[in-house]
Amino acid sequence: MSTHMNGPVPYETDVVVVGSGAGGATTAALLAEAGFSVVVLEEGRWIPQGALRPFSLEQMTQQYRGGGVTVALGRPSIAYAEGRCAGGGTEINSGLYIRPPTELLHRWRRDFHISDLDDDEIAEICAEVESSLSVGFVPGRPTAASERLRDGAIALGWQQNEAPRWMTYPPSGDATSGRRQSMTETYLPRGIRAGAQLVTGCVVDRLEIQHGRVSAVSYRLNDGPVASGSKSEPQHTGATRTGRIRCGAVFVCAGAIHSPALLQRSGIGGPIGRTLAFHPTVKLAARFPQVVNVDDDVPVHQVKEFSPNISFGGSASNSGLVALALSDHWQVFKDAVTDWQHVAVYYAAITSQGKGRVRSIPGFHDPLVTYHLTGRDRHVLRSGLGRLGLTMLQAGATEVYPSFRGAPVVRNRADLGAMQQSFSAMKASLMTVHLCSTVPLGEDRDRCAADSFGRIHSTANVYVNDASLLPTAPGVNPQGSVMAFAIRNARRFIATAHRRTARTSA
Amino acid sequence: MIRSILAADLPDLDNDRLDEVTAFVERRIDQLVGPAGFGVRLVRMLMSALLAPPWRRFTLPVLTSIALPGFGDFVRLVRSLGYAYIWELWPDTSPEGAR
Repeated sequence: MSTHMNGPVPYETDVVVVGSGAGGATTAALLAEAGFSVVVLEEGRWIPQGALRPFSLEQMTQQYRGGGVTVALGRPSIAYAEGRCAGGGTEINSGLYIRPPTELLHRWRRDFHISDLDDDEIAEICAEVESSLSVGFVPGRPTAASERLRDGAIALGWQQNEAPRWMTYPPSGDATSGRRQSMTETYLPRGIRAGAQLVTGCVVDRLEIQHGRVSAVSYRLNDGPVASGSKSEPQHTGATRTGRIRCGAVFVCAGAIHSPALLQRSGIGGPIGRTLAFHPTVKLAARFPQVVNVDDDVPVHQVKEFSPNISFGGSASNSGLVALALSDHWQVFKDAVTDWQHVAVYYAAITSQGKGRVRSIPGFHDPLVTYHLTGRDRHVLRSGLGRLGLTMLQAGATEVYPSFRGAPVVRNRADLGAMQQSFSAMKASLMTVHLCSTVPLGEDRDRCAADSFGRIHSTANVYVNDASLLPTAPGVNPQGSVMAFAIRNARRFIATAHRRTARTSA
Repeated sequence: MIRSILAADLPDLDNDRLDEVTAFVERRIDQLVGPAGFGVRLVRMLMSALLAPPWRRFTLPVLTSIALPGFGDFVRLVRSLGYAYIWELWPDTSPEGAR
């Protein structure tokens, strides 16, 4: 099925939600349950959990934007990944869940003048989300790759913890037997049960805005059958048709790249797309005497000793991704690929002081994305890679292969020093997954494009409700923060709309 | 041109596999989105000219070993996609590409 909807695309609705990820799915569910007519327009397709092998090329082909090859240009350029499917990034990420830290909420409230941001309300929403998504720890022992990271940190006396995940496990299941409780398993079915219509294969071109009010959404829809195979990209075989939906309000939840791009294409001004933030990440592969590789899952332990500046964790490490991690200095590292079951990939993610931009360019649907690291960022990346390498040596790694051009094999502490000397961010294969902050919320209109509840300041009825709203990169896995803010803002919209209706009736 | 980069790295990769992985990398590059995708395809065109058969044996070692702006990123992209494809589909492949 490429389209999940209760009939033809309507011509009119109370609310259009653009995007169906952590922000869009929760928004749609709450609004539909409150009695609004809701249409969710999703560019990608509905792919059920378990239909594709996690972190495989086929999954990237079918569920990632650009087949997983998207990049923020700069010196160096930084690869990023975005979901492009029903459920958005929740279908493809690591499934780790962390509440927004209280001190971070305080800083956001103070620095961006966010009104009515209440710690207790956020905590209550988080508890509700955790119940809906079955957030918990893995049963039994974590994977060997996760244990290696944990053990390395313990040996160094560094703070580490196991991040909970939103997974369900069969009664006698182990750490690798979880079923992700992504949006296609939770909030999207909930919204559909409450009457929301989800339209997949639908690209939103622009919002029709006059005098600060959106009146309709223009879209292109291709809901024909999809031809695909393991070696070819999915192609809709039907004809593309255009249409528009008249609506009373729009929630743009297309992610930190495409939400600002859509607003820009629709002629909305203000500080939109100017403050892209994320956690630049540098990787290494570590080789152990024992088998550590789990090819379709990620480690759950994280090292937080240097948080929020630097965090360490484990990456997907199937045989193809191990080869990719070794590719920066293949002539020196290549023998390790024959031993890939003993190799796992780890990352050091930093909280960056750099900033990026998202610019909509006429003639292109996808925007130009740029990012500039600061000198401090480059220093912290070097330091993070060195400390991550040390953790791996302490965990028993016999060889460590950093992901930058010309990197040496690291076998001991002396090699670590040489590695750090030869590192430069320009030579590294940097990547990121936690994109945010392109439409920050708050009452400081010079810095914030949206008000304290996600309404674009210059409009009456255009809202953003996804990672774009987070004022800065949170320094932790952001899905918990995105969902908490999305639910808070949707509830405020419902309350305000009901108050307005009550006033009109009176 | 993509084929010659991969063939130089992995001299024992047989022709069938080389054809298949080259086709995969070409498709992915064709699918790249936005202005960045346009830029990558522009670099591919320039690389194809620089790696044309008459002077390939002189230019290939230079372009694949020195990280020139744009060209170095393109070579990294080809290697990333190509290696990920080869070792995901055929994990027993030797470091030189042999079955």
